[in-house]
Amino acid sequence: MSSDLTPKIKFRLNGIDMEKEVPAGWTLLRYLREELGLTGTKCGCEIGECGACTVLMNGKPVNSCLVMAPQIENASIWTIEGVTPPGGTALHPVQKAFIECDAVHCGFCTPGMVMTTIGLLLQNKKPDNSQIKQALAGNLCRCTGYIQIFEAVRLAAAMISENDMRPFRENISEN
Amino acid sequence: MADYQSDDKCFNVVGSRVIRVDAVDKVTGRAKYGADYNALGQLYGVSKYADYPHAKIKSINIAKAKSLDGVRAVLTHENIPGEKSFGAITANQMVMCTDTVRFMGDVVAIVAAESQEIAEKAADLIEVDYDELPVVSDPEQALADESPRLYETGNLCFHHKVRKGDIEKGFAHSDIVVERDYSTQRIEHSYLEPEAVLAEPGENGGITIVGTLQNLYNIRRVVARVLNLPLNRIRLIQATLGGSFGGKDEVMSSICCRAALLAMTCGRPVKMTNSREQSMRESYKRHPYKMKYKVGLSKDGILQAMEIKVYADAGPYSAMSPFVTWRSVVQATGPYIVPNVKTDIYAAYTNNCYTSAMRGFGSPQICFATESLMDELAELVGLDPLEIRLKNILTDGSTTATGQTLNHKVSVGEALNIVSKKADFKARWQENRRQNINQVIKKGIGLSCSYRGVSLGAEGTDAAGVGISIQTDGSVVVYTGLVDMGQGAATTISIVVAEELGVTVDRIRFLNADTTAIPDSGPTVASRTSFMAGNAAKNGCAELLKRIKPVAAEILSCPESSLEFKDNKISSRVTNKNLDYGELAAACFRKGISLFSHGWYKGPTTTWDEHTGQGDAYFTFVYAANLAEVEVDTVTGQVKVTRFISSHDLGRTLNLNGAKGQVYGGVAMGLGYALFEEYGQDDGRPLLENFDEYLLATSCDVPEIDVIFIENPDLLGPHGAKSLGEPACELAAPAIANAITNATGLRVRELPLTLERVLLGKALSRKETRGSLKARSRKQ
Amino acid sequence: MISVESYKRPETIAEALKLLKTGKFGIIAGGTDVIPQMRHTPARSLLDIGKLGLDFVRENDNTVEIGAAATHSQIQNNPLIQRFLPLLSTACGLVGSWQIRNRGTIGGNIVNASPCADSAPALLIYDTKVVLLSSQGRRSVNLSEFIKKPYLTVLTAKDLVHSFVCQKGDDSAGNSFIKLGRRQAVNISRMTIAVSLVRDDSNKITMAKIAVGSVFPTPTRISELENKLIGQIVSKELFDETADLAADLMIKASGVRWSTPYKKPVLIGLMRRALVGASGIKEIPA
Repeated sequence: MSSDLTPKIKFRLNGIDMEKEVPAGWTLLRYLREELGLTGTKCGCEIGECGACTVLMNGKPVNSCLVMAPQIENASIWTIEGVTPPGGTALHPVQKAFIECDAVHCGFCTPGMVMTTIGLLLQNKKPDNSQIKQALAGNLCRCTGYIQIFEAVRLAAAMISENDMRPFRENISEN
Repeated sequence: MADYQSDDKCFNVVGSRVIRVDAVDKVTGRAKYGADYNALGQLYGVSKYADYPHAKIKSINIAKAKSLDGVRAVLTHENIPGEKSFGAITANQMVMCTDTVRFMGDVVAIVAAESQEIAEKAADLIEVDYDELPVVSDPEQALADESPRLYETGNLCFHHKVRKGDIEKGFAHSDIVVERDYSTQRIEHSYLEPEAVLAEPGENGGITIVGTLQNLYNIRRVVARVLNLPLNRIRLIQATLGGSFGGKDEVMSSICCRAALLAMTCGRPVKMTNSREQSMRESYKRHPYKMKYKVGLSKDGILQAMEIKVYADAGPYSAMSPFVTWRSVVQATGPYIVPNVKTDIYAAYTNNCYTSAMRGFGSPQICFATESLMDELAELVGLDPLEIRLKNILTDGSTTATGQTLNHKVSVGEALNIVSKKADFKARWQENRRQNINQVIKKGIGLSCSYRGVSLGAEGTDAAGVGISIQTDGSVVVYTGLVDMGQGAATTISIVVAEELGVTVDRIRFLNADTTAIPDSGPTVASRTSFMAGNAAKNGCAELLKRIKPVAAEILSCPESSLEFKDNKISSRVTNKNLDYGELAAACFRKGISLFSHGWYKGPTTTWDEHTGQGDAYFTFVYAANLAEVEVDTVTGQVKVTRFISSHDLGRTLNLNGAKGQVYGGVAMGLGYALFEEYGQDDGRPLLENFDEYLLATSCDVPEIDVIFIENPDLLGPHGAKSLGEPACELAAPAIANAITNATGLRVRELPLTLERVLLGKALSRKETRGSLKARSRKQ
Repeated sequence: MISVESYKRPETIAEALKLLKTGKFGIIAGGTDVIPQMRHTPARSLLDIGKLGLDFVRENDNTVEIGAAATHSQIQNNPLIQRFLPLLSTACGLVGSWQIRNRGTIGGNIVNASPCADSAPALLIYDTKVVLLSSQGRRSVNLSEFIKKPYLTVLTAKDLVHSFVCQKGDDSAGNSFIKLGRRQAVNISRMTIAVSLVRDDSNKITMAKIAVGSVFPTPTRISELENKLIGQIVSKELFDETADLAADLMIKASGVRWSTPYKKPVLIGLMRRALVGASGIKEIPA
C-alpha cells in the first residue's frame, strides 16, 4: 500500500522508467544501496561533504545522501551502474580516461568522481583547468592528490562525443 | 610529469606505464567494499559509546534495550568468552570496557537488532551509570608525578632513547646553542570509506568476517583470543579497501570482535557499519607530538650536538605507539650528521582518542621539527636553507644518530640539489625576501628533506610470502597476505611477477587477502610491501621457472640458457621457435609438474640496543627532498600553495603510474596536515565529528606537483626497489611551513598553519561553545 | 541515521499551508541543511515544498523576485540575477560545492539564519523583503528584521517562506564580494563582505551599500559605514577610516572575544579591499 511513508512515485533510473513505492524517511543514497542493491554509489559522510555518493539528478551532480527518496519523483537519476550496464564490457570514455590516467587508487571516491565529471562535460565540453578544479571541489579524494583525476577529466573531454553524453541529457530541465 | 635521474634499464614491465589491475572494477562501481557485503537474514550491530572521556562504570543496565522489539542481543564485557583486552605490544585496549572508560570512543555495550534503526534506538536505551574521573589531556603533564593516572602503573606508555657521543662536550664545543619547541596536531586518517564488517557464523563452530581490514593476521589473532577460538576457525577476508593509510588495524580488531560476538550469540550474520561520526569518534589517530630541540652548532653552521625531548600523545591504549615512537627516535635528528646526540621520546597515556599507525608512522612530526629547525639555524648563522642542509647532510658512508654506517648510495643531498635547481631555489628565496616588503600577497619558497628507514627495521622480524599459481592456459593467479588498500600493491606485485615470468600484467589475477588461503606475511605497513612482497614474488617465480624451463627447452629443442620468457611466449634465441605460455603450462601439468609456488622472503637482520639507542636500525634507507612555493595573503593569513616539487630516491621504480600517484597523494595529505587538518579535542571531548569541520584538501587546494624520481637501485630490493608510500607524505608540511616563513618572516612552530597562526603567529582558543553546536542542542 | 515520522509532498500552496497550520511539520526543500541536522534530532515530520513551483525567478518593475526553492546554481546562472543582482549571483556561486549548489536553496540558506549564510549579505545589499505565507495570509518582512539572532528567525512553524523580493541594483554600481574561508573552495565562511558603490565623475561616492556576514551575530547592513562614505571623495584615508570604523562597530556590538585579535585586523583589511574593489579604482589617491 502506498502511504505517507511509502509514497508511490514515478522516476527514471539509469534510463529505465520506474514506478515504485519508496521509503519516505530514507535518503536516495540509502534507497539505492539498500533497496535497489546499487552499491556502486558510496557512503562516505552522509552530510554532503565528501561527494562519494554523487549521482546525476536531471543531469546535475547531487549528493544522494542529501536527497530524500520521494524527491526523485519525476526526475531522471543516473548512477555509476548506468554508466556501464552490468555485465557490459564497453566502458564509457570518462571511465576509460580514469583508468588510462591512473586516476583510480582506492576507488572509493571514483564512482562519485566519474558522475561529477559526466555532469561537468554535459554542460561544458571543454572545461579549462580552473573549471575542472571548481567542479570537482565537492568530491574529496584522500589517495590521489587529484592530479591524475584532473588529467583524466581533460582526457575524457578530448575523447567524448555527443553520443556518449546523450543518454544523460534526458529530462534535463532548463535553468 | 615524472622525470628520471636513473641508470640504464632493460626491463619489459618494470618501470613502464601499467594499467592498475583493479581499475575496471572500480570505475564501474563493481568493486565490492566492506559495506557492500550483505547476507540473507543479517542483523545490524551498533556500539554504545562512553559518555565521558574518563570515568568509572558503576553499572550498566541493558534491560530496556533488550526488551525493545526487534533486538536480538545486547552484550557487555561479561559476555566475552576469552580475553577482554588486546594489543600487539601491551594488551590494554578494551573490546568492551570492564570497569573504566578511558576515551570517548570506548565501547561499553553492543546491540544486534533486525534493523539499523532498532539497533541504534536500543543503544540509546542502554543506561550506564558513571563516576567521573579527572581527565588527562596533555602528554607532558601526564608524566608529572601529580598527574591523575589512567593505569595504576602510571601514564608512561613507552620511553625510547638514543645516546651518541657526549652531549655536554658537544654543547661546550658549540658557538651557538639554541632551543626550539615544535608541536604537531592529532589528525584523522580520513580514508573515505568508513569501517564496515559482515560477520557470519560458519560451519565447524567458526566465523567468517569480510570487511575493511588492513592487517588481517593481526586482527585474526585478536578475534581468536577474544572469542577463545583456534586461529583456523576464524576466516578473515579483505574486501576492496577504500583507503586505510595505516588506519584499519586496531580499530578493526575491536569491531571484528564485536561483530563476531554478536553473530556467534545470535547464530546469524551481523553487519556493523560505522557512520563517519562513529568512525571519527572511535578510530585511532596520528600522534600529536610536543618536541623540544636543543641544538649546538659552530658559527659556520656545522651541527655539534642535539638534545631532543619528545612527548607523544598515545591516548589510553598502547596500540602501535611504542613502534611509532621508535621510528621517531631513530630519525629524530633528521638526515644530518650530528656527532653528539641525546634523544628521549616518551609516549604517554591520556584520555584523548588513542593513536597508532598512520602513513608516515612517527616521521611527519619529526620532519616538521627538524626541517623547520634547519631553516631557523640557517637564519642564525647567515646561511641559506640549502647551504646549511648541504653542510650537514648525510652522505655515502656517514654514520647516523644511532651509529649505523650507511653503506649504500646516500642521495638526500642529490635530491635537495635537484629540487632546488629545478625551482632556482637560492635566487628565489633571496628575491622573495626583497620583493615581498611592500606586497600584500607575499611569495615564499621552502625546502625540506628526509631519510627514512625501509620496512619494519628493528621493530620486529620481517618476512613475507607470495603465492603464485600458473594456470594451464598461461594466466596467473597471485596472492599474498599483504593487501592493496588503494596504494596499488596489487599492481606493483603483479608487475614483479609479470617481469619475472615473462607474462603481461593483464594475464595476472591478484586476489584479495584471505587468512585461510594464504600464510601470514606480516602487516601491510612501513612502506614494506613492494620491497618484501616484491622479493618474495621474485623468489616464488624463480622456483617456478626452475621447474618449467627444462620442459620448455625440451619442447623447443634448445638449451635452457637460450630461452626467453616474454609477452606470454617462450622463445629460443637459438632455434627461433616459439611456444605459447599456455601450451607450456599445460605440458608441465601433464607431466605432473607443480605450477604453484610459495615465494618467501626474510628481510636482512637489524640490530638495536635499547639502552643506548645504537644499532643498525633499518637494513636500508630512502631519501627525499621537497620544495613548496606559496602565496600568503597577509590580510587574512590565507595560504595558497602554488607549486610543489617532490624528489624521491626509491631505489627503482616498479610501477610508474602507481609511484607518481603515491607522491601526488602524499603531497596532498601533507598539505592538509600543514594547513587544515586537526582532530581537536577539549579535555578529552572531540570538537568535531565529520568532514564539515575536519577539513581535507580539496581539488582547488592542490598545486601543480612535479615528481622527480632518483634511482639508485638497492642491492637487496626487488630489481633494486625500496619504498615510497610514506616518504611521500612526510615532507610537505615542513616545506610549506618554511615557504610561509620565507614569505612573511614569521616562524610558526605549531601545526596546522591556520589563518590565525599564519597571521598572528599563534592560535586563538575558543572558550565558548560554537554557535552551530548551540543551535543543534536547541533544536534537539 | 535519520528518521522521519511523516513525509508530505503537497502539490499546492494551499494544501501546504493547511498542513503547516498543524504546527508539527518541518519544511524541507533542498535538504542540504535539514538532512545533516536530522542526524542529531529525533524523528521529524517533514513537509517537502519541492512541488509548489517555488523555484522561480521573475522580474518586476524595480524588483526581482526569487522563489524560496530556487537553488544556488539556478541563482548563480540566472541572467536576470546576473544583471540586476550581481552580488547575489556571486555569493550563491561561492556556496559549498557544486553538488550542494545544485540542491541547496536560497530559502534554506536564509531560514537557517546562520551568521555565515553566504547569500544573506548580498540579499541585504538589495534591500530584500521576505514574503511569508501562512493560513492567516501573506506578509512581508525586511530581511534585516527577519533574522532575529543566530539560528533564529521570526518564522513560526506555521509559516512558509514564499519568496525574496530584491530591489534591482544600480547598473552603474561597482560591486565587490569577498568570502574568507580556510580552503580554496567549499568553505564555511569565516567572514563575508559585500560592497556596492556608485561614484560620479569627480570620484564622489553617491551611493554606498555595505553588508557583512560573520562579523555581527547576524548578517548585517552597516549604515554607519554607508553614511560615512556617501558624499565623500574616494581616498585612501576615507577607505581606511571606514574600515577602522567597521572594526570599532564589531567590537562595540560583541565586545572583545576570543576571536577578536584575528577578526579585527582581518575585517579592516578585507573591508578596505572590498571598498577598493567596488570603487573600481586601481590606485586609490592618498
